[in-house]
Amino acid sequence: MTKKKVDDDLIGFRDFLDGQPQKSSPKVPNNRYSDFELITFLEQDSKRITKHIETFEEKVYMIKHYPQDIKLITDQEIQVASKKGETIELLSRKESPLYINFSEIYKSFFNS
Amino acid sequence: MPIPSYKQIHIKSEERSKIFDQLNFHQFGQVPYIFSISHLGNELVALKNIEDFLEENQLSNYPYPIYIVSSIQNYRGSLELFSTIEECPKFYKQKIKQLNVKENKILQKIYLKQKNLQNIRAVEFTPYLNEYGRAHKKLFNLHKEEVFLSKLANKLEAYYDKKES
Repeated sequence: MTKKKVDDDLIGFRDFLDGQPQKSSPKVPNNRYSDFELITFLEQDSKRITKHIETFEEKVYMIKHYPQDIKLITDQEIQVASKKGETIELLSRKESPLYINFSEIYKSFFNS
Repeated sequence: MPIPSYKQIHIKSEERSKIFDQLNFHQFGQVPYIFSISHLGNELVALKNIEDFLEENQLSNYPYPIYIVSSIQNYRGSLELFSTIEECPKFYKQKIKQLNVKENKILQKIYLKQKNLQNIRAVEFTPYLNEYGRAHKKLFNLHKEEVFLSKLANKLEAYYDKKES
């Protein structure tokens, strides 16, 4: 029923439609996309090499002539030593969990 | 000026002199290379000779990588090994074609930068970079220790405060 109705709607236009050149579906410009792909690749590679140059010309130069690691490591070692002292002081109290646990272990071994 | 796409070299023999003769023809540092040695009888010897060639000529993975296609397993060395060419990183798998003006301009820039990088002689900086890495690792471990001790001290203080109240 529906098909017949659609056919009826086209009466009078069918000859005109048949005479029109069929429009082909728009083609995807493959070449253009592949061109962009190559340009993107080349730009990325260019940036990558620039970063290499920056690393060697600026960063490594600074590392070579003005190293900071010795000072930083010394500061950090001082901080760690201070924290260790603080923690040992807290752990060596008589009511500390470490002290309690050890005393329980010793009691279970030697007082039984 | 070639596009920095993979250049494949089938190593003809595992012999040291033949490998050196074959590789001496190539100009490294402008394109990434893939050396194929999976078809050779003694791949380990070939790999060792390639390593020697790269070391003697002070060639490294900068600015372009050098990959080896081989069936050797559990290799621990300075080179990257892959069992097939398809497994190599896709970034440098580019089709060679006629370049347009814009692409040519970028490629010329890349060429100039490559020359600049070759003049810098990155090998000279390697010990400083290694030392920098070692120092950072030590600093990281010290910081990790400090964080652990801080957490422990805070927990102990909280425990004593709770006990007193």
